[in-house]
Amino acid sequence: MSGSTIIIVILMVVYALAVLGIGQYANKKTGLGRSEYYVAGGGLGTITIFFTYLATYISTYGFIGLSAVYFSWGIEWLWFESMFYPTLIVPLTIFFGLRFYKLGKMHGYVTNADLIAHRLDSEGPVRVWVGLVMIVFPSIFYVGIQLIAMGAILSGLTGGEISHTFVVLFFAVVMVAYIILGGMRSVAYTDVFQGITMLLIIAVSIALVYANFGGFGEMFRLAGASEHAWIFERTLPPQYFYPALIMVGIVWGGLIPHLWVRFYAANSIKGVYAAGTAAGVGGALMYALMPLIIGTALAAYYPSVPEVAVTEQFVSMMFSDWMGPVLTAVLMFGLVAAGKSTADAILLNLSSILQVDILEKTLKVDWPEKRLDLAARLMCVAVIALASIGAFAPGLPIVSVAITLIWSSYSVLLIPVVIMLFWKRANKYGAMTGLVSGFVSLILFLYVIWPEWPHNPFYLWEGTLPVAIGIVTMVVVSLLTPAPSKEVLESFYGKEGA
Amino acid sequence: MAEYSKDYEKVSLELVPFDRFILWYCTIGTVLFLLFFNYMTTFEGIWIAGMPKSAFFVVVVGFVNIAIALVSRHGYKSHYDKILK
Repeated sequence: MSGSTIIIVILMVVYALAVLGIGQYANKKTGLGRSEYYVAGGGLGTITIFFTYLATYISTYGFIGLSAVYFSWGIEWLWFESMFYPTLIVPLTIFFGLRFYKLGKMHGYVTNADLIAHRLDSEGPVRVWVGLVMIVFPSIFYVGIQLIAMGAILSGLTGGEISHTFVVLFFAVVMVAYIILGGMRSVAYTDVFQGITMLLIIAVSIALVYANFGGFGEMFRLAGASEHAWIFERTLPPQYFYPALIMVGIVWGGLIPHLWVRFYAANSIKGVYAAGTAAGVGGALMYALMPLIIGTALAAYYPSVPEVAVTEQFVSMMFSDWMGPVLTAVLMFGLVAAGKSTADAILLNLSSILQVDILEKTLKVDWPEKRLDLAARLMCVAVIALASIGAFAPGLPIVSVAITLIWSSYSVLLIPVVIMLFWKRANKYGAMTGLVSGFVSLILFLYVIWPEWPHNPFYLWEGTLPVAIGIVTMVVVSLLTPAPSKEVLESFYGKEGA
Repeated sequence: MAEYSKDYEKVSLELVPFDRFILWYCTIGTVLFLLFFNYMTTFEGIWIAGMPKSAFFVVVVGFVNIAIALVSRHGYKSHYDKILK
């Protein structure tokens, strides 16, 4: 093992100890009860909410994944991820966040399915389908792509002396450990640390790129004059982008399950404003400016696409050429933080689904507190084990996995949630048939009917048809079956809102 | 149990005037975006500030994000500050 690899291993251990220390601090601050563990008792302050929202928002996906896919597949994939921010995601974050904040406080919600089950006045089937199927399924892949990026960064820097599998397992264990220690507080406090680290790496990276090319103008000139100039063109038909612009834009406006529960955790309305600001800052930095700068730098720096085991290794390779593996590793820990802060939020959310939605509210098990806690922690371990298995041998760039599968899965769940929030005629029959038909059609289209990309004959984004099927089914079945009673609506919206 | 503010009681689930503004902005913004999408994403060599057009508009999107976040924050804060006084 080379000297630089030993230093990188030491850095990994120091980093792990730092976040575990924060987790232990959070453990001491966390009181008893589900609400305390999963949403910090609704007691997180404005600054903490800002950083936890920012850090959860910013994942390795933006910096590493989008830069790499822009460099290797073209700028249209960066467009796919950045175009819906200014018109939908950023303005809708506070719009939806205020509603989740109010409803969460009014009714003491802990999970996403708490709200949906209450609105639909239906417990078991809603919680099982929404929680255990529609949230867990995409979340496993979402955690997996974060692990892939972490493995690519550090394994690539050591030239494979630390294996991709080892890095994935190492960070999987660290994440589970600090989530078990302190729940939402642990995740939020480590997010403050990780959020600051990420902002630092962004500043340093911009300075490095600027210094290496002698200015951004020269970098763009080199990229535009290289054989890589094709990356600035769009090749996909517009209909692939249009439905995604609307559907993905709406669901990322505060509705993504692990972001949604952050609004339950805010201790005042200022936390909701802070989350909205974080969405704007995160969107600007990680889904527009940084991938544009880093991806263009890759195109300007590499005359032809270098051989890599995993696409996401391009970025750490370039930085390593500029400043050596050890300094690059220090820099890249900011990105590891980005991946961890997203994955840990998802894991905590999944843990709450098993404990609250399944064991307590659906199966109504009469277990002692400790056994319930243990089962929820085991859920974390099971999910991260599944995600790790997928991450050991990545097949596609993480951006491709997200756009095709994860964003589509979230859309078939969350677009119907928007409808049930604002359309009081929506009932449990309509909502459930809409949710089931949307998700089942997505799986059938992706894996059975049209297994080849783009999974439909019309060149539409993969989520388009399943979301349309879900919406139509929900509306038609709701109109054909009895409307929700006044009592049900009053219980959810309050007397004035119903 | 942590302490939290009771300000949520004043938050409306119905559409307040600034909600309507946001929804109109989203609708008009999205339609304009769709109309100009082809224009913004086509490549015609170096276009402005040393950048191709498709790259330049990514920079624009980035800065507009921050502007919209601040406008949205200010609008909601002004609305609820008046109610919460």
